[in-house]
Amino acid sequence: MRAPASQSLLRVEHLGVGLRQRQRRQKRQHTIRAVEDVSLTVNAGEIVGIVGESGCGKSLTALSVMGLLPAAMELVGGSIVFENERLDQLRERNLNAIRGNRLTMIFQEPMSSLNPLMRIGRQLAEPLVLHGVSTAGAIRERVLEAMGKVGLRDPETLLRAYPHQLSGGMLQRVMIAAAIVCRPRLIIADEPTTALDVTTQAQILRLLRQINQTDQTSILFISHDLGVINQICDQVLVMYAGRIVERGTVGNVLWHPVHEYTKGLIKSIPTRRSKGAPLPSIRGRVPALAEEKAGCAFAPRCPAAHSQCFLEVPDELALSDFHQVNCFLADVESEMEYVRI
Amino acid sequence: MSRRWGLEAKIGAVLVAAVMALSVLSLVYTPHPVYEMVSGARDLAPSLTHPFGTDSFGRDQLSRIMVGGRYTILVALVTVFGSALIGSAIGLTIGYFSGALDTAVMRLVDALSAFPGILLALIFVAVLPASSLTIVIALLILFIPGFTRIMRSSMLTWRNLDFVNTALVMGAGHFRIITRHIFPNLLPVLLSALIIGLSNAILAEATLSFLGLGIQPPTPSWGRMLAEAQSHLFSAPWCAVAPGLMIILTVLGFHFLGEGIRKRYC
Ligand SMILES: Nc1ncnc2c1ncn2[C@@H]1O[C@H](COP(=O)(O)OP(=O)(O)OP(=O)(O)O)[C@@H](O)[C@H]1O
Ligand SMILES: [Mg+2]
Repeated sequence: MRAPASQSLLRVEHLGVGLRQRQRRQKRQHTIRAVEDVSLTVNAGEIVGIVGESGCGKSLTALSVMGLLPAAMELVGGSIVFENERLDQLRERNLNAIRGNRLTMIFQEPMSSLNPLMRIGRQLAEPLVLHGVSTAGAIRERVLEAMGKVGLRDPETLLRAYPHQLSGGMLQRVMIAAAIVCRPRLIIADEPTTALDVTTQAQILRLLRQINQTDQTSILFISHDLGVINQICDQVLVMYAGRIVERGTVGNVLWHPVHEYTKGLIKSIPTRRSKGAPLPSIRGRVPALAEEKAGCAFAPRCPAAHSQCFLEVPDELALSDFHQVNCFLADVESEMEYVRI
Repeated sequence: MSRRWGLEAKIGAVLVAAVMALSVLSLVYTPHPVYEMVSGARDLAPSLTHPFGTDSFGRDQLSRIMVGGRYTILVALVTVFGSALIGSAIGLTIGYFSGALDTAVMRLVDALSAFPGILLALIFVAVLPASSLTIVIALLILFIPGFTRIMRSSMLTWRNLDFVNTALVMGAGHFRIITRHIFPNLLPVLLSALIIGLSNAILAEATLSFLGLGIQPPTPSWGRMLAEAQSHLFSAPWCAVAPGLMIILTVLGFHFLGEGIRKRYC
């Protein structure tokens, strides 16, 4: 597939998310940023992954798109366009017409993401009820269809069950069924398999892939597991300390990483060959939100950092149409691959 | 949280049911006409014809207690359900949205609860004419802060749970999330608060009627009967025992029931 003329479904540009300022006297430039200058595009039918260590702003990026930032956080710039609509400027009511309908989200903890007092049937019907499917017959038909798609057997019993009666894997299937019941264009999945065991995880990944292929549903897939990203995604964005440091197709970024951070992440994946040897890890730690960040946030941990890295934030450098990196060390000339992998 | 109903809840349920049954029965049957004064039957000690004796006007105490229970319970029900409705609406809203409104309302609630309840009720009764309606309004306002506080704090614990985000992601509005998604989970808390509220309301109504500020004569009321019995405490002690016992049993019944519900669900 060579650069399809696909239309961008979601386009986020220069997104910033900061800690909400309590005192109005404090000046804007002191805003503590958790996400800074994040741009990303999800095309129709594509699975885009976001990967990065805990606390690097993956969830906040996703929640900004949904318009569901926690109360302590606020958007501090940028734009979010979904199907030609500026989500960041939409009123709550109009946003509600989109959420759950054309744009939806799946969370990490299936156990707590369902209402303990509501039967599965009602929770699956809720998006339909909210988006104008009113007759009981039509709702039932759509709910059963969604349950079939996610491979939930014995729907009759399940519809009457309460969440505590189901296993984590089944609950995650229910969550996915609730997400696709209105046939959305884009699903944001925030670490949907982190809380599940390995076997269930593989099943859920297969399921998401299948939904993506049969319904052309785009997925923004958040994970801190590069293996998972490699399995399921077309594109990947690597985030570090609130910024995107490297992006491109999975083949380019994961198999030919340029940024030292990405390289470190990949090296720290245990493999069969590294058996017995100590697992390499990236030295240092993620900087805290409030820490003063001059220059590249990764510089203090970077094995190859030079003086410029501590002074300026690197701009995005396009190695090719399929691979961009934010790093002063990257050199276009020395880059061998210009093809999409 | 326990699986079965405790002894507390069972005793409470029996007591409440007995008092309710007596009061409801008074609608169709009382042993003697309530308002009938028999001059030859004053201050009679308890006997088979008058199980709780008669008062100084020769009125049958049992009949008066039955009818009085009706008013007492009616007043308690109306005030408690009224204040639960208003208090819940306020508490759920400020708890869900938090922010400046929450702070402002909670300070008001604090101020209101800092007043001794009886003083507040006295102020109302002094301003408005003494009647059953006044006492209902006074108690209603008196009980709103309690419900506001309980529903707000429960809301605070529930609204940050993941399933609220799921509902938001499905496109549910805030009103729907409060009423359909969160509120059902708070029902056990509300129910136990309601029932304990009923016992408080019965006590408060008795107190106000005792002070002559509540239900007006000749309508019988337990508090009022106690007050009237005061002057004959030594010649006709049964006049005080009967309403006193009823108040104790009813309050105890509701209290046990409320505690039982709380232990079972919360
Ligand atoms: N409600 C909040 N209040 C204050 N800080 C927050 C809040 N939510 C997130 N943060 C901070 O914002 C930063 C980014 O958080 P985010 O949840 O996006 O991380 P993440 O990449 O999703 O991590 P994880 O892999 O652990 O889910 C973190 O440093 C976090 O501490
Ligand atoms: Mg997260």
